[in-house]
Amino acid sequence: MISLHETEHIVLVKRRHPVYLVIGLVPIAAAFLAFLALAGYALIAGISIPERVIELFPFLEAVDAGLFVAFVLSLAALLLWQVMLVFAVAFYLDCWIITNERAIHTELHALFSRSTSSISHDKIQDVTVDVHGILPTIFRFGDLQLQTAGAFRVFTMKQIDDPHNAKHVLLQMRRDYLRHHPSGTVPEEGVSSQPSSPDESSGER
Amino acid sequence: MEAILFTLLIAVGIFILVVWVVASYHFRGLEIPGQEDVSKKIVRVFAIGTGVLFAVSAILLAMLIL
Repeated sequence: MISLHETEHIVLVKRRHPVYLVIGLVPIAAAFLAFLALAGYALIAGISIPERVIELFPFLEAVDAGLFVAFVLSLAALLLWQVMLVFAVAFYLDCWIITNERAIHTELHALFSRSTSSISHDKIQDVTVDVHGILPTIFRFGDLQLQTAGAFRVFTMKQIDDPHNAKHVLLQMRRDYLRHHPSGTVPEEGVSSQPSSPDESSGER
Repeated sequence: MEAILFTLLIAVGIFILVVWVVASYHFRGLEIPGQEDVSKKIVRVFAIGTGVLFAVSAILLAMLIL
């Protein structure tokens, strides 16, 4: 469970846009349905195994070909179902949380690889919105990049819904945070989208 | 041959078990205070699907063997 500080509260929770989930799941779901349909067909209509295959695998001569194919396809469908589960888990666990004190990022890179990091608002130096491509423009999703004060780290909220609003909220929270914890200055809002060089990005000074 | 198919089913079952244990572990790690827990709905849908598909595979194997 993500633990918050005593004075901290969640302002915004962002995940990838559902379009990302649909695009990723459609090919897997199509294959899954095709396997199920083929298994049903093999079971109902019955099929015969070619003689060449039987010559290679003699044990197939003794089995019901329709049942055998249906069994193999149902196992394949079962495995594809697990792939869809992992995809859904990854979608759900890639999460960016903006609180009144920091931005928290949790990401599932693979089933056995997960990272969680957070960045305090006073460490943010630059905020960039990157909406790139036809689908992101139509469905209004994109990346929100936070350049931190430390070394070279870039904290990226990937393919989130309405990144401009997220940026607005983030900068507002940062402004409020620095007002209560004066340790730096606040970047000007509106200087953001896709800087072509570091000099054009919205710096804090 | 029945032994091979049975072993195949058991191997897939073990793989599924590992995936579910890891997925559950990850889900427990991301309970966001004050937010609706959608993970239970996701888990329920996939658990039902996994159970049904595994049962179908087991039945087909039983029909194949018997």
